[in-house]
Amino acid sequence: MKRRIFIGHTLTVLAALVALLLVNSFVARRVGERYRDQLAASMDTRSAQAQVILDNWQPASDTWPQLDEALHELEYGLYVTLAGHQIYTSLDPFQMDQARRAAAELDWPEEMAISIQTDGIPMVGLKSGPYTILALPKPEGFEFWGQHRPQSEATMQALIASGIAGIAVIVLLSLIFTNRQAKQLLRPINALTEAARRIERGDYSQPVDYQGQDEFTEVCAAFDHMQRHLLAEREKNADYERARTDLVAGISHDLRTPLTSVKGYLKGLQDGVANTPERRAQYLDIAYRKACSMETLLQRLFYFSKMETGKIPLSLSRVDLGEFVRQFVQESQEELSAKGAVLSLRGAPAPHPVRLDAEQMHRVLTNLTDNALRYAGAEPLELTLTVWRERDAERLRFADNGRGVPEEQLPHLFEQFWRGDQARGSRNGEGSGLGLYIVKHIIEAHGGTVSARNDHGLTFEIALPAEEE
Amino acid sequence: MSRILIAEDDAEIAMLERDYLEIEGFETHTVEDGNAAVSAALSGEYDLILLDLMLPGCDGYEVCRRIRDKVDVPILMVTARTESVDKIRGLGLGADDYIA
Repeated sequence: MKRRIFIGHTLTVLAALVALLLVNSFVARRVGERYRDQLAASMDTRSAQAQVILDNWQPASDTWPQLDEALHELEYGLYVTLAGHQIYTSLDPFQMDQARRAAAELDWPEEMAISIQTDGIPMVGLKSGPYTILALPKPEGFEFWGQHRPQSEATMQALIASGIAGIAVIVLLSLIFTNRQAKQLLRPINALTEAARRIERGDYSQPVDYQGQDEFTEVCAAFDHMQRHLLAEREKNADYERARTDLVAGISHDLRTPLTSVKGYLKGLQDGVANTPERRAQYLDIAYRKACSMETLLQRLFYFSKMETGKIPLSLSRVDLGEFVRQFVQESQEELSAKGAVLSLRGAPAPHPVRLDAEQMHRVLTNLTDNALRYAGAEPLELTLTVWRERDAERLRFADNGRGVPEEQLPHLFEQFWRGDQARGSRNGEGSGLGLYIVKHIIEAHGGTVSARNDHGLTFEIALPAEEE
Repeated sequence: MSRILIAEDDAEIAMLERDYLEIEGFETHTVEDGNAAVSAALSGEYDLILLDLMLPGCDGYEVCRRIRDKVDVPILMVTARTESVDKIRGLGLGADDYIA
């Protein structure tokens, strides 16, 4: 584009100059021709008059000034030689050579003046006795401003006329070139405007319609890139929205299922369906457990919304990670074995000092355990927790012996609302799609990292910054 | 004595349904997944089927589709879902009524 503008401008200037030159030379030639015609005409009459003056002149050594004066009126200068030597002249110095040569070399007739031209300079002359008398017209130009004023005015007019014509041509040319250049400049801009309008209408499918190779190519490429990015972003938003809608539908279903049980068993008690004391106790127990599971779900939702709207303050204290995990295993053992799961701890003896919020970290372990119970699909479910030190991080591995997660789904595991396909379809749980998102959130709030991989089941690895002594 | 097939994978809901029906003097049999529900229904031993919509294996709609042409037994769809589209779909597939 830069080159094109440069070339365009140079061409404009060149074309304008050439046009100016052509116009000027045309005008100059016309003026010159006219002037020469006029001059030639006046020259003819003047040289005839000079001839008459010279013919009638009686040469005498003291009368040259009078002759000169007579010639002067015709604007002629006088040159006289006596036997080859110059005795009188009123010529301009640069005419002298010419006159000297003409006097010496040409064969002037006796007593009868003739008019000739040598080297384009007209002169009148004759021989009279020992004298050679020549008359040359005074040169033009030296008295340009004085005597030939009409001619200089004509020249000025010609200059003005040619100047105006030149300006007109330059303006015209510049209009044409500018127009072309503007069109070229506007082409990519129009294409971009069109593309922006298209995006406004919600059509992200077409790239910018511009094939040129210049600075705009890059702009258009950047635009296309932005468009692809917007499209991806929009799809991501749509996915997020879908996930949110799914979440709402999921939550209402997940709450309704235990609620149906609670209502059903209470109604059963009311209707006397439970007709033995054992049965009544069982009904009450089921209703109570279902109500508890609803509470858990609501707590998690509440925690999530708190997490979404603002930060959850951590109350950090110095804790030994190994000891913390050992306690969790001990507490959960009984409840888990009732659900057919075995929890075991490996390699904890060395001190593993970290700073953590015990309540939040407990939630992490609970969520991981719940996740395994729901989705691992192993019978019996074996959960192995390992704590060890690696460089300046305390690490906790949480491994199950389940079916794992398809590799392509691993990166999505920690996204909010995300549930794997088999998890979505499965009936065996009130999964909210929030558990692992909350895990990641809490770990990152502790300045740690969490990752997941398949290793004979699903394995989570948590790293927390080690607390130095 | 009328025999009723309960197709329900949530053990607690199934137990409640069973208790209610048995106290009324019905004989019940419970299955927990869709395929078992289809084969039990096709045995022709039942006078009524209580069919949950969300069953592992194959869902309630699929069970309905697979047994409707073969045995003439009333099907009562039972579900926690309340959207009317589910109701219409279930009835369109030949369920006889729908309990939410």
